[in-house]
Amino acid sequence: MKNSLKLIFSFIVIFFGCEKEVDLKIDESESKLVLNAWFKTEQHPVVEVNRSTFIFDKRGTDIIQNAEVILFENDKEIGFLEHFGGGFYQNENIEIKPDTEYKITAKVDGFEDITAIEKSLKKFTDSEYEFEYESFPNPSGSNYQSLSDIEIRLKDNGSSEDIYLFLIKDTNKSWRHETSSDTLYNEFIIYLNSSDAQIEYIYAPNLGQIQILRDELFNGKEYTLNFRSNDLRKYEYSDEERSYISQNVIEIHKISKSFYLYLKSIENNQYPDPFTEPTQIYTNVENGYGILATSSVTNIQVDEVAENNNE
Amino acid sequence: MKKIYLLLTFTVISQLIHAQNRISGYIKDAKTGENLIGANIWHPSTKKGTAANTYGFYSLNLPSDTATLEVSYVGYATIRKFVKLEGDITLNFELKLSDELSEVVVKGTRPDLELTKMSSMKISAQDIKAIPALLGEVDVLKTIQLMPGVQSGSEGSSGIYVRGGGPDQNLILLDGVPVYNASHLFGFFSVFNADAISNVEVIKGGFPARYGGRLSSVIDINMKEGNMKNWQAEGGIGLISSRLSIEGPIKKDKGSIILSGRRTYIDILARPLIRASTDDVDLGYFFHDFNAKANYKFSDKDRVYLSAYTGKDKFYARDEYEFDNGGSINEYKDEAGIQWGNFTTAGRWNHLFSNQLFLNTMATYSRYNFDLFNESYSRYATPDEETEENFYTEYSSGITDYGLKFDFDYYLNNGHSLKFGANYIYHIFQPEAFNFEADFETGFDSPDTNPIYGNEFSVYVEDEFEPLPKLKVNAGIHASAFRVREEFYPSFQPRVSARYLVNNKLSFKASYAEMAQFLHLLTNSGIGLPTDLWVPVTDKIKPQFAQQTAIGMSSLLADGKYDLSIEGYYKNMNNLVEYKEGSNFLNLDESWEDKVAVGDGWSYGAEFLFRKKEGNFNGWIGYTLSYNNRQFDDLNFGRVFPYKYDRRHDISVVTNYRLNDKWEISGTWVYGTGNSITLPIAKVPPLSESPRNNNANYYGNDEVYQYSDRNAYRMPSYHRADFGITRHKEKDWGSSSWTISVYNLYNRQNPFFITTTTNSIGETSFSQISLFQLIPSFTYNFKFRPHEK
Repeated sequence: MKNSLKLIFSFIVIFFGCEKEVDLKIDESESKLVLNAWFKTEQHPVVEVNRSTFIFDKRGTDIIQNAEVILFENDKEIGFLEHFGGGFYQNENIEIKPDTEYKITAKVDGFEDITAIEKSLKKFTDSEYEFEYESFPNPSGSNYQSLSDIEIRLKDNGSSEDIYLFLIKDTNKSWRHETSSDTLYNEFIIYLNSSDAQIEYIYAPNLGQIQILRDELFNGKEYTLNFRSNDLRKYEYSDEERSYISQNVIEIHKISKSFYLYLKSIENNQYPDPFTEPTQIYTNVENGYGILATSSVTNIQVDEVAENNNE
Repeated sequence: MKKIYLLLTFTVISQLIHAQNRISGYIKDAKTGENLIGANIWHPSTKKGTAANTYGFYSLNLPSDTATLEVSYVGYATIRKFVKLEGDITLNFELKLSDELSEVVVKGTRPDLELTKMSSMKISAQDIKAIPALLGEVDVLKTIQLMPGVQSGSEGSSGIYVRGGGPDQNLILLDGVPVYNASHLFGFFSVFNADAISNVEVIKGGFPARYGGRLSSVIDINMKEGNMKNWQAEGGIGLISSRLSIEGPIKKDKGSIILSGRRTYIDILARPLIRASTDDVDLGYFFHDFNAKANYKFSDKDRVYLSAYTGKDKFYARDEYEFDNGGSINEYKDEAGIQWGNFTTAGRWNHLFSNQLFLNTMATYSRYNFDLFNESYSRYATPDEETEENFYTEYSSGITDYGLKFDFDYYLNNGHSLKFGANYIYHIFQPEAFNFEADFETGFDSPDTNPIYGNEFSVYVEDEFEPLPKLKVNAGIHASAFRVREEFYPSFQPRVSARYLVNNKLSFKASYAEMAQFLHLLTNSGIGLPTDLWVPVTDKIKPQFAQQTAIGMSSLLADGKYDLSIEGYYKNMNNLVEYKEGSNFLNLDESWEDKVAVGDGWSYGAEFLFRKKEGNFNGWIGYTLSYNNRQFDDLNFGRVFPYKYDRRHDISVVTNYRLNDKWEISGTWVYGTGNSITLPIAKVPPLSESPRNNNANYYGNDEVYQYSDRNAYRMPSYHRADFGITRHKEKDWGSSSWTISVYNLYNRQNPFFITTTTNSIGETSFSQISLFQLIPSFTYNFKFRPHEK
């Protein structure tokens, strides 16, 4: 159907139209600093600094390794973040406190200083949810031998507007017994499926498929979510030469409104589809782009080993 | 307070008992016998007057026993008549077209400055035909767009934008029936055939209480009634279309009929060219429309009208092939396309209860729908077996209305002129429907998209009166309600407009109007296809409301040769809808109600119109200064943004010069600030969780495209000049004319849309796609002399 429309659209342009280059004055021809950070309560802060490029610049975006990144807590400077590779900065001596306002400034010669302010989230405690899962043979028998049904019961705190983010990370590690130095780690976000209409599925580049749930319909009440995923159980393999372990970790976050708006705008941004409404990517970074996202996370590690393990 | 009531009561009673003489009747065209809607009858010495209603009926109360009356109408010679008033009398007037008279037309027509109505204008069929047009197709809506306060979207997008409103906020009435899509060929032409039109009135503000249902304008188009005296025919042959109208009496001076049709033939003319250039794919487009209207006067008090319009646009691509592959035959046929059209019909009954009370009863039907379709057939045959497969998909949308309406005109003896009535419309909305049929297993079912039924009710009353000698007021209330699903939305909309006549050359006017609208149009902002969806208010989406205040002055200059009007307005609009960011109207996984965002808008500005109506050289200059903003919580992160058609300056110059009886030249020039647009401006790396995930880019894209704030940039400005020259010739059988016109005289490449393109060495830039550049055209028009029995 979309093709029919494109055909008609093309017809109009081909038979009636002509094309010429135009010079539209875009006040965006210079690069800006991009600050991306995901602060998790009770973890140390990590910040990535890049630069954007003008839409027509043939160069891609690039990392910034010489930025001066300063962190403020309730408007009080608490330390520098040091570059440790790939445009990422951190300070392992600082831990993000719950329910506290953080400000980051980043300065780089030749760029305008950028600032982002966001409040961290209260600690997400184990009493705020219950988790159960059940693994069973895949009825279709294809690709994955087993699947898991997951049930998460949220006990929402009615005092605030909460936005939940769910993801499952499949962390795998393999190594040769002779040379343990060539250990390989990989981390994937695996796909979750739910029939719950309240779930918003968002695909974020560099993060993968994540699931969002807002508490609009159950604020202050219990809410049960059901997902289906690949087998959640641990998988171990070992032979004479090498070993392999695959383990799933379920992360349940409460995220800030800014983070939610950013993810939604990333999802909606479908450039350059002419049939889709253009979407600006949300930013809370002053004079630049990016996001200072905050969340409070609880991790659930599944230690049960699959019965067909080591086959 | 009691004293005030007493004073008011005394005033009313004294007016009632004062000796009054009532004159009433119809004002008609002398040649055809057609009623002249809105013709003015004016008593200069008392400065009292009135306008004929939609059926040409007038009723005027005068205090004196004798009077010299002036009767006028746009394009017709004004007549003056001395009458003796002895009680109530009936007097019909017949006006002659001004170009049929050799003598100078009588000046001093009742000026607009005398009317309470403001922010409105009347356009005659002659005005429409005098303006040079694209491909020679004269057009009502294109003419309206040359008036201040009325904007077109852009070339290639349908819709009219009035005082900052959206394209859905215009109540377009064809003989009183709403027309939902008034565009042919993706907005390049309107559905109204100028040969079938009698006149058009556009109201942008100060809405009288009798109108309702839309926020921004009323475009009231009346079809010709047909010649009551003689049979006649007229038509035209143009580059892309031809048209023909036939009209005449069913019974002389009792009833008449008019039939009018038009069809394009670019599909037929271009077919060989297209097949040659597309490897035998048959691409084509056509539109046609047909108008019919009949009326019959059963008595001096009863008259019945029947009218209908049907029109259709279709764009299609057909492909078929068959080949023999050594004993097996493959045959394939496919057709895909888009089609849309309106059908409207109305039956009306006029009844004159007395020379003071007039009733029009009207039953209406209106239907609009568009659909995108794809149909294919394939056959595979070998000597042993044969298989056939049929496949059909259709995405459609539409709206159907059934209406019943009663309108009373009641002319009181005390100078009050009352209009009141009631209206009911039963709406059937089909915002989205997807039909999928195949004679083989696909594993896919058509989703359920049930229609939505809505009931719209309204009643109104308005009164025009003069509380003070120079002050005239039209005040009223329009009450309406809409019931949909389990929701009920009532609305009370006060309306008032007033004029203060300083002298015969100057008046000041002011108006306030509240409007409600119970349906929305979802418009994809990116492209200009007729894929917009008409949707009702629901429990999730509330009715649109507007409050508009306008002030202005109207004056006559140089002994009435020129009109000057200046108006300022402020309009506030609530519950407007737009597609949400990132939504796609073809995404059927999501209901349309979930694809839209609701917000508010406001616009303000000033309009200037300088017009010369008389003489061989006539025309107008219009200028609009306007500001137009929107605020939606779910768009642009809640920040205020300019509307797509926020056009700071809009200028139109229209001229017409009649050199002599044979030659006539005309020209227009339009300028508009470029439309606002959202552009991609930067590439930005998205959030990565941390380098601890050393495979952070595993999921692919490490750059996303950042757009500007919504509508933060401007397309290049739009300007264009058109020119036309016409040669008229009298023939034995009637008259004919050749019109040669040039659209876009200086070949301006105006923006249709902006896109990004990358050249062969990888350099990307913005490109502007333009549609019509310089287009010459010619049209041959003919009009047979009326056949007199």
